[in-house]
Amino acid sequence: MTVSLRCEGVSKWFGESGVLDSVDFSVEAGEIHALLGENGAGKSTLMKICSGLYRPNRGFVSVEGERQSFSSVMDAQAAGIALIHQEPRLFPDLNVLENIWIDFRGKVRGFNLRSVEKQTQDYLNELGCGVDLRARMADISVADQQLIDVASALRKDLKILIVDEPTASLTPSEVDRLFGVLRRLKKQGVAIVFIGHRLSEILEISDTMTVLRDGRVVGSIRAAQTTEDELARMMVGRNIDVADSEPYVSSDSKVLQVHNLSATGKFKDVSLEVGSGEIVGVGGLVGSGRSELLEAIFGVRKKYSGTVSINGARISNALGSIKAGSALVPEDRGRNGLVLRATVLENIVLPSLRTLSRLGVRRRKRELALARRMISELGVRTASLEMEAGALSGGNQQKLSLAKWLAHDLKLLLIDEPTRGVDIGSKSEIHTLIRQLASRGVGVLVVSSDMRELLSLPHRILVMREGELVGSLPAAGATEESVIKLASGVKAA
Amino acid sequence: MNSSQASAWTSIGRLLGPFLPAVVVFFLAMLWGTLSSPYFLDIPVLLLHSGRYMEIGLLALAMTLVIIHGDIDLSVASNLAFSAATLGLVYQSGAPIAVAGVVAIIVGTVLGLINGLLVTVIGLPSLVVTLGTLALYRGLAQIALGDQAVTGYPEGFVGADQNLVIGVIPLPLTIFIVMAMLVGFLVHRTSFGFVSLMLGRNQVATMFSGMQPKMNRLIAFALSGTMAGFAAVLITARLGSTRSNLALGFELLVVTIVVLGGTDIFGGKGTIAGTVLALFAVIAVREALAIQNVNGQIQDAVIGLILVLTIAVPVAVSRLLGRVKASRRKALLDFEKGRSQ
Amino acid sequence: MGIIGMRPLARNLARFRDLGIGGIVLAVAIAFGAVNPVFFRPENLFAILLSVGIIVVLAVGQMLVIISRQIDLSIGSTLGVAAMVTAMVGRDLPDIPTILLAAVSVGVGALLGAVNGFLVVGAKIPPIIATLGTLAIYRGLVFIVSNNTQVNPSEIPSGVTALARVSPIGVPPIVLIGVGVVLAAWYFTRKTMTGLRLYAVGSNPEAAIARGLSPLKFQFWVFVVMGALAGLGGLLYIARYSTVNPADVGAGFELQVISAVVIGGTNIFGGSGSVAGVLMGVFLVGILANGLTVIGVSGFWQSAASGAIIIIAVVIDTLVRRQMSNGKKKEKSRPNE
Repeated sequence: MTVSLRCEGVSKWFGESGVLDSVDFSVEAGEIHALLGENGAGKSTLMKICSGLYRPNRGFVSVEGERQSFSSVMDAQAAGIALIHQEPRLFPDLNVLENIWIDFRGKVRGFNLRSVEKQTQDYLNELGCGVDLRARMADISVADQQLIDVASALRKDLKILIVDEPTASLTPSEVDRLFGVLRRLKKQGVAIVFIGHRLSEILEISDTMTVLRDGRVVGSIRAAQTTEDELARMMVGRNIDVADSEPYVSSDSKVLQVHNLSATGKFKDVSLEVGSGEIVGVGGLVGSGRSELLEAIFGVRKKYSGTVSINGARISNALGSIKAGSALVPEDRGRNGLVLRATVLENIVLPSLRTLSRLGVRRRKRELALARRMISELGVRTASLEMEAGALSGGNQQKLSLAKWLAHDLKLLLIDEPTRGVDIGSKSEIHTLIRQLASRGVGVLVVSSDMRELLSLPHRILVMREGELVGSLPAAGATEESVIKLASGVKAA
Repeated sequence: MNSSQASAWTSIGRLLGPFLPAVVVFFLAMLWGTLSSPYFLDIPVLLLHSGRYMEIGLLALAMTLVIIHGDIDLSVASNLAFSAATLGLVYQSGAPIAVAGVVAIIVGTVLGLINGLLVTVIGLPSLVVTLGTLALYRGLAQIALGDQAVTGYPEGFVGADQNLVIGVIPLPLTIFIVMAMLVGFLVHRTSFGFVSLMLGRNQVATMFSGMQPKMNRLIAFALSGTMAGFAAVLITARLGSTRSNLALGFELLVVTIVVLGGTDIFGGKGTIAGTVLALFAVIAVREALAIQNVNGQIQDAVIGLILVLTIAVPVAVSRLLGRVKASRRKALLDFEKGRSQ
Repeated sequence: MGIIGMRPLARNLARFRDLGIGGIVLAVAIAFGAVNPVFFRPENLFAILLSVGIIVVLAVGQMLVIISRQIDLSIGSTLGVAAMVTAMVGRDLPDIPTILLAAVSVGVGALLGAVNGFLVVGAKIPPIIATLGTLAIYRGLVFIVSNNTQVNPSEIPSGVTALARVSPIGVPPIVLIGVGVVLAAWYFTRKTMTGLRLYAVGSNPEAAIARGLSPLKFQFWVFVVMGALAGLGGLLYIARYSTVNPADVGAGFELQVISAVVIGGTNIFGGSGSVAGVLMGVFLVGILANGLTVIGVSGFWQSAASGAIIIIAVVIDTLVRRQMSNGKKKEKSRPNE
C-alpha cells in the first residue's frame, strides 16, 4: 500500500510553548486513519502543518514519498491535500452550485454552470445530500454545508482528505451520511485523516488510530485490535502526582444556583450549584457547550430559558452579574479576556472603573495602586504597567486576565481553561491562586480540558456531553477514564 | 537592546510618534508660507485668521471621539448647516439671539442623536448612515432657507470673532481652547473616555468586562451634533449671515485633521492633543496656500492629498523597513495571523 | 445573487423587491403626472431618459464596488476630470472622431480608478478614506487641467452633442450606451465566472483566499472598472450638458448613485446586488429628481430626498435581512442531541 501522507520528526512551537515534538505519522492510500488526543494534544496543529497553514519548525511532510515544503494552503491543495474544518470555506451569499464550482480551474471563459448542474446534483444525491442546488448557502443546514464543503474539495485531484471534528454538530443520521461519503472516498484510494473525539465513532469509521499526548505520539493501533477503554487510557496516560485541593466542607450557602438553563443550539436544561468556597470543575469534549454555559451564567450570552442566581439574587445580564460579585475569565483571552492593544494597567482597571473613579473621573493614583497590588499578588511578570498586554507571555496574560477581577469583592469566579497555553511555573501559581480564592469563600466554576487539572483542582467534577450535564463526580476517587467515558458517551464496561 | 531599553524606546516612540505627521506638516507649511511671501509670518494676523477655523476645530474634537469608537460621522457639516438655519429662522421670528443660539445647539444635538440611534439601536454601519444624513440634513437646511440668507444679526454678536481675549487671543480661539480642554478631559481623564478607547480596540473584550457599547457610542454621536450646533453659532457670528451652503465640504477637512492628529481610523487610539496640533497644521497649510491666492478647489485637493499621505506614508515606510505591519483588514489579517503563528 | 439564482424564497423576495420598487416608480411617475401633466410630455420623458442613462452607467460601477465590500466616494470627481479632459481635447481637436474621444474619457477614468485601487490595495488605506481624499484631489485636478476655464457649448464637437439627440433609430445614443452598459453588467454578474467570483470575494474574503481566489486583485480591478465607467459618464455628461465648468462638473453624482444602488437592494456589506435592482433604483432616483422640478418643488428638496431615501432603504433592508436570518437560525439550530 502506498503511503500517501507522511510526517517525519515534525516539531512545532509558538514562542515559548512547544506544541508538537518529533511526531512521526503516516497514512496510506485508501485508509481512514484517526488522530486522537485530548484538547491541546496537538492534533489540529499537526494537521494545519500538513495542510499548509503552518510551517513545521523541524521535520518534514511528504506526499506520496516526495518531501514537500508548503508556503501556503494553495501549495498543499496543489499537492492534493484538502482540510475540512469547523469554519467552512463557503460563501453565504452564493448558492450551492456556485459554491462548489467557484474555484474551477479549467477554462473559465464560456464556462456554463448549467452544464454541470445535473452531474453535480446527481453526485450530491449519491452522497446523500438532497439539497436544492439553487439554495443560498446561508440558508442551508450546518450538516449540509459541511457535506458541500467536502464535496467542493472532492472535485480536484484529491489524494489526502483531512477532516477536523466533523461530527461535532451532526445528528446520528447525518453522521451516517458523512461516513458513507468517507467510505466512498476510501474506495477511490483517498487517504483520510479523521480527527475526532467520540471514541465509538472513531472505532466505527477508522482503520487505524494514532494517539497524541502533549505533542508526542503515544502509539498507533489498528481499530480491530483495540477497545474504547484502551484508547481512553492511551489518551490520558498515567497519573502524575499533582497536589489535590483541600477537601471541601460543604456549606449551606450556595454562591451560584443554576436551574434548567438552555441556550438554543448550545446546551439544554443544565442545573447546577456551587457552594461558597467550593471549586467545581466542568469537563467535556470540544463542542459540549461548556464555554457557552459559563458565558450564559455570566450574562454575556443570551439565554433561552432558565434562571441564574448569585447568592440568591436573580441575574439577567453581565452588569448585574458583576455587581453581584461574579467574574468571567474567558477561554480566548486574546479576543475576549483582554484588550491586547491596551496596557497592563488599562486591562486591570477596566472592570473596576466604577469603584475606582469618582463621579466618572478617573483617579490615577487609585488605579496605579490597584494595578500594583494586583501585579504583585499574582506575580505577573511585566517590565512596567505601561506594557501592552499583547506583549506578555501566555502565562502572564492569563494571570492578567484574572488580576482584573480580583479587585472586586469577588463571590463567584467563572474561569474557562485557566492554564491553556501557560508554562508549568505559571500553571501552579494560578492553581494556588484559585485555591486561595476558594479558601476565602469564593465559589469557583472552572472549565478545563486538562485532565490532570480537572482531577486535582476542583472538589467536584461535572461532565458535559453535547450540551447536557451527564455526570457529577466527587473529585476524590474520580479517574481520567471515568471522566472521558462520560464525556464521550462510552458505556461503562 | 535589552528589554527595558526597548520598552523605553517603545514608550517614547508611542508617545511622540502619533504627533509626528502633524508636526511635520505644520513646519513644512510654515516654511513654505514664509518662503513664498514676506507677509506670511505675521503672528497676530495668523492668529486672527485662525479664528476662521475654529468651527472646524470644534467639529474635529467631537469627531475624534467618534472615530475612537471605530465609527465615523460624515454628516457634521450638514448638521452645522441645518443648525445654523434653525438659528437664523428662530432669530428672524423675533427671539433674542441667545435663545436662537441655544436652540441651534439643541437641534445639533438632536441631529447627532438621530445618527447615534440609527447606528446603535438599529445597528446600521455608521458610514452609510452618516452619508445619508449628510444629504438629509443639508437638504433640510436647503428646504428651510431656500435661496435666502438670514441677515440682520445683532451688532454685538456679529463680528464677535474679532474680539480679543486678554488683548491678544481671538475669541474663537479661546472658545476652542476651552472646548479642547473639556473634551480632552472627557477623553483622557474620565471613565467614559477610557471605555471609548477600549471599545475601539476590542469591543468584545470590553463587553466581557461588563461595559455596554451602545450608550458610549450614542453619546459620542450626540456630542458630535452638539459641537456642530456650537460651531453653527460661531460661524454665524463670524459671517453675519446664514445660508444653506454653509460649511460645504467641511467633512474632508475634519476627517483629515483627526487622521493627521494620529487618531487611528479603525478606532481605539487617538488624542485630543493630536487633533489640536493637526488643526494648527491644517491652518498653516491653508494660510500658506491662501497667501499665494491658490484657488479653493486646489486647496481642498491639497487637504485630500494630506489625508491620503498620512496613512500611505507610514505604510510605505514600514514596508521599506522590511516589516509589514499586518494590515487591519480583518479577512487577510486573521488568515495571515494563522500563518505567521 | 449569482449565476443561477437563489432558492425559491429568497429569489421571490428579491423579485418581489424589484417589482416593489418598479411599482413605486410607476406610482411616483403617475403622481407627478397627475400634479403636472407636463411630466409626461415627450421632451420631459426624454430628459429623464438622458439622466437615467448617465446615472445608470455610474451606478452599475458603484454596485460592483460595493459588492466587493468597498465604496467609491470619488466618482463625481473622476467624472469631472474625464469630462474636462475630453472636452478640452474636443475643443482643441475639433475633427477628432467621437470614438476616440470616448477612448480618452474612458482611459482617463480608468487611470484615476487605478489610482484609487492602488491606494486601497497597495497603500492599505481604507476605501472610505482613500476615496474621500481622491474626491478632493481629483476635483483639484479638474481645476488645474482646465486652468480654471470652462469649455463652452460651441466648443464641443458635434459628434459628441449628437449623443444626446434623437438618432435615426429614434433613441438617443446616450440611452443606447446606458442600455449597453446595463446589459454588459448583467451578463458579467450573471453569466461569467469572474463576476461570480467578485460576489464570492465580497461575501467571504477569507474563504476566497482558502479557495485560491485573490481578493486583492478583485479589489483593485473593480476600482479601475468603476473609474472607466465614470469616465464614460464624463463623455455622456458633456453630451447632455454641453458646458463643462471646472467648479461643478460632476458634483453631486455620488449621492444619487449611492441612493440608486442602495434602493436597488445591494447589500452594503458586500456579497450581493443585482443589476436589475440597481436599474430600478436609478429610475426612481431619476424620476424623483425630474418630477420634483416639474411639479414646482424647488431643487432644494433633492438633497433631503436622496438622504432620506438612503436611510430608509438601508433601515428597511437591514431589518428585513435580520428577520429572515433569525428565522433561518431558529430553523437551523437545535440543541446537540
